[in-house]
Amino acid sequence: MPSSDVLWNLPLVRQKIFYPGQFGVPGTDSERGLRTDVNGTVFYVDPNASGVTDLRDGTDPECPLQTVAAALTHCQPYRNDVIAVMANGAWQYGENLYRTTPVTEQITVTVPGVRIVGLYPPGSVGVPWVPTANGGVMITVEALDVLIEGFAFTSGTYSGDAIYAEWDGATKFADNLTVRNCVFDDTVDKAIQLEYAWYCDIHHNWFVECDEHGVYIDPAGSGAAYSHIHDNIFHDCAVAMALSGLDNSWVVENIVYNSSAQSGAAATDEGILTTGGQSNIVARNIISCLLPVPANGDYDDLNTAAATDAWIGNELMNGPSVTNPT
Amino acid sequence: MTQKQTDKLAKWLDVRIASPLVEAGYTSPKLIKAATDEDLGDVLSQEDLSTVRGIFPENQS
Repeated sequence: MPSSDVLWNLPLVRQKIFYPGQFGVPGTDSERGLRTDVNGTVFYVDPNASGVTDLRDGTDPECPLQTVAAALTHCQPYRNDVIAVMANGAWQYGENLYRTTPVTEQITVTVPGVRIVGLYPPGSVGVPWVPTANGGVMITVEALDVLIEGFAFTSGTYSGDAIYAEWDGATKFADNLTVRNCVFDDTVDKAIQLEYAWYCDIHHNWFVECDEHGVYIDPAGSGAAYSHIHDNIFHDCAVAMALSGLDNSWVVENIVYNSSAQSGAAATDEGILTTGGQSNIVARNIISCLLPVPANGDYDDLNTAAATDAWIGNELMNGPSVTNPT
Repeated sequence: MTQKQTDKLAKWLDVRIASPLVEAGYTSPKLIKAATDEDLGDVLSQEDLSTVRGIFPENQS
C-alpha cells in the first residue's frame, strides 16, 4: 500500500520536559516535541481528537490542531516544517465506528518548503481526505518545494479534484512539488493537475478509476516541464495521463490499465498523451493494449506522443513497443 | 518577478520576444494562447507574432 512507504517513526511521542533547561546547553529547554530537523517544527493535526480545536500551537501530539489549514498558518518558509495528520477511520469500506471524521478541507498551500504527511498504519490506503463541496479542490499548491504524502483522496459525498499545482511567477510558484505514497480513488475527478509547474516528482501513487484524469495538464494552459512521473499505478481511470504540453520530462515504469483498450474497444488517448509538448522520455511503462494494428484500443489509439518524444520499450499485451504512438 | 517569468518563457521563445510579452502581462503560455492575434500584435512585430503562434497557437473558442 502506498501509505506504508511513508518514512516516519510511529508512534509519535512528544519529548516531555522533565527538568528545566540547562543553562548554556542549547535545546534542553525545547518545547517543540519530536523533530525531523534541527530547524523544523512538527504541527499535529487530528480532527478526531477529543476536544480538538485550532486554538492551540499544535506542537503537542496530545493537543493537536483540528485542521491542516490552521497548521499551515503556523508554518514558516523553509524551516522544514512538517504537518503530521493523524490516522482516521473514515475509509468508505470500513466499519465507520472509530475516528470517523476524515480530513474535510480545501486548502491552499502558500508556504514553501512544507511537508504535509498523512500518518497511517502500514498496509492502509492512507489518511482519508475529502473536499467540502462539489467541484472542490482538496489541495491547491501555490508554493515551492511542497511535499504531500500518505493520503487517500476520496470525494466522499462530493465530486472534486485532489491536487492542483500552479506557477504564474507573480503569486503562485508551485514548482518542485512532490506527491508520493497517496491513493486517489474512484470518486476523485482530476487527481493531480499541473499548470506551468516544473520539476515535479509524482511517484508511488495509486490512481484507481479516477472519474476524469490521473495526471492532467490543461491543453489550453501552460504545460509542465522537467517532471518525473514514475512507479505509479493508473487503474482504469477515464484518462490516465493527459499531459498536453509536457516538455523534457520522464514518464517511466508506470502501470496503466484501461479496460476498453484491453478488450479492443475504442480508447482514444485514454492512456498517455503528450501532444503539444516535446522531448519527453516515455519508457518501460506497462500498458494494457496491443501493439499498433491499427484497431480500436491499440497502442496508437490509447496513446499519442509528441513528435520529439522518445517512447522506449513500453510493455504491451503482445510485446514491447518500438515506435512513438500516433 | 518579471525576470523569472521571462526565464520560463525563454524556454520556448527568444528572450527578445519573451521580454515584451511578459512586460505586457502575457506571463505564461496559457495567457498567450488565450490572447488574440490583435492583442499580441500590439506588443510584437508581425514576424515575431508568427513565431509565437507557431509555438503557442490561439485557443479555439
